[in-house]
Amino acid sequence: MKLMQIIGLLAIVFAFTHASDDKNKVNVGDVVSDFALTDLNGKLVKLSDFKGKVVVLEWTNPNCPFVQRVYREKIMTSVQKEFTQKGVVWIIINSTNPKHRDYREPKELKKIYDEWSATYTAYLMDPDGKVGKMFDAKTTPHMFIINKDGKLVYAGAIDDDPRGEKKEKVNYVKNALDEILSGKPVSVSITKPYGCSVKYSE
Amino acid sequence: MRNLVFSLILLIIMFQNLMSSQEKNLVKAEIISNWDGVSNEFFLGVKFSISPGWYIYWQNPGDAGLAPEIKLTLPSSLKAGEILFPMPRKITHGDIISYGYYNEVVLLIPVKIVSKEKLAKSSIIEAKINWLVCSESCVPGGTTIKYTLRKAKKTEIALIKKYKNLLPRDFESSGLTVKNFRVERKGNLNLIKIEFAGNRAGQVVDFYPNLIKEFLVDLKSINVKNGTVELTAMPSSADAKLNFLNGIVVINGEGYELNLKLK
Repeated sequence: MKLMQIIGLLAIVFAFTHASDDKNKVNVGDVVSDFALTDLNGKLVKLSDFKGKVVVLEWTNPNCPFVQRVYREKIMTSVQKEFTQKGVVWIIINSTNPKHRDYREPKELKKIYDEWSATYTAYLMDPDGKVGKMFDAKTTPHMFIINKDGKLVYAGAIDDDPRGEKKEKVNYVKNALDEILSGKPVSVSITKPYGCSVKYSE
Repeated sequence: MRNLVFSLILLIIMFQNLMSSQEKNLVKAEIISNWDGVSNEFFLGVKFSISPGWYIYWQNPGDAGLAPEIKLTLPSSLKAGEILFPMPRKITHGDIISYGYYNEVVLLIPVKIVSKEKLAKSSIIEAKINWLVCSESCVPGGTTIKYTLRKAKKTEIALIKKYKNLLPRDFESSGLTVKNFRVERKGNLNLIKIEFAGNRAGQVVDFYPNLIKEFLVDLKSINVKNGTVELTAMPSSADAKLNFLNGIVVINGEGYELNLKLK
């Protein structure tokens, strides 16, 4: 009987944790639940710290060739610079699990992204992938935009050029931010992200 | 002490060079053909030999990755069709789903000889090939190959035959019919339902969708049960309407190409 009770209890805990995972999953149009992660200096940063502001979330992994290219070609940094100057909060999130060969310590990440001239409000570590999975972040890079009301209004790629060969690229994040800052609705709210897979623990 | 530091730096550089040269050799690409020296039509094949444990991608790479790219420069005597991708494998890492190939794959390109006279003067084909190969990490690669068209060796003909047999077949040959194809908009989601009829309907095990412009298919949502495939797709913009679906229906490891349009 005791064994059955334990199994029953475990089943309830399992069901609850999985149900809450699904419940927390955020889709375009949803109000984003608060989350908290530590930054590269070990300081706890919450999404709610930026209440009332437009927030960009950028999933990253410096070992991914797609991430390296968008930084090398200044596709990411030009948008970071332009919109942080306009008051947009830019949060870089790294969900690489610490056992993966791509995992880098915060100190090393700071050095790499400084060398790449990244402009960000916060660089957050998500080693257990909890926040990555909440947004269903699949690739690096994978971009998300939260509007002033806390609603997710964009999820997808940085631009329309996965192979890095187009002369005229459509930068979806820039376009969406331009629309948001001029009070318009985001016209393209979902695109297929491209890049390496996020290195979650399996 | 200075010598020791210097030796250590040298060792690190040598190790990095060794690693990068190994990573450069993760994929070997070759051009083959099955031209018998007489026919006006044949297949050109790009054979990818992939290091164990690594994989390259199908035309729809899935949630992450990138399909290989082949850009041909042909003499005016030849005309090429679209690249044909053999049946891929579904590769799952947690919630992330990809479609690709381990070990070896030959991508096929149908070619027509439009002028044998011109072919006699110039038969050099140039192929610019790019790929992304992944395992724990991803490494991009590429090469340019110049290939002179000649009568194919038996091994080439056999290899092309093998991969031709692995191409998705016509849906009509599956023994299935589509009983119902429905797309229902629910909030921001398109709920897609395909019901199959026929003796083998219960044997359908999976569906590999093609990329849909302006829509993002949630690959995790693909659910196959009792001859019915269900999946969801999100539109890029509010006014995008989904009225078609292309992909591969998987039965017993074989693929059948399905192209559906809403009436």
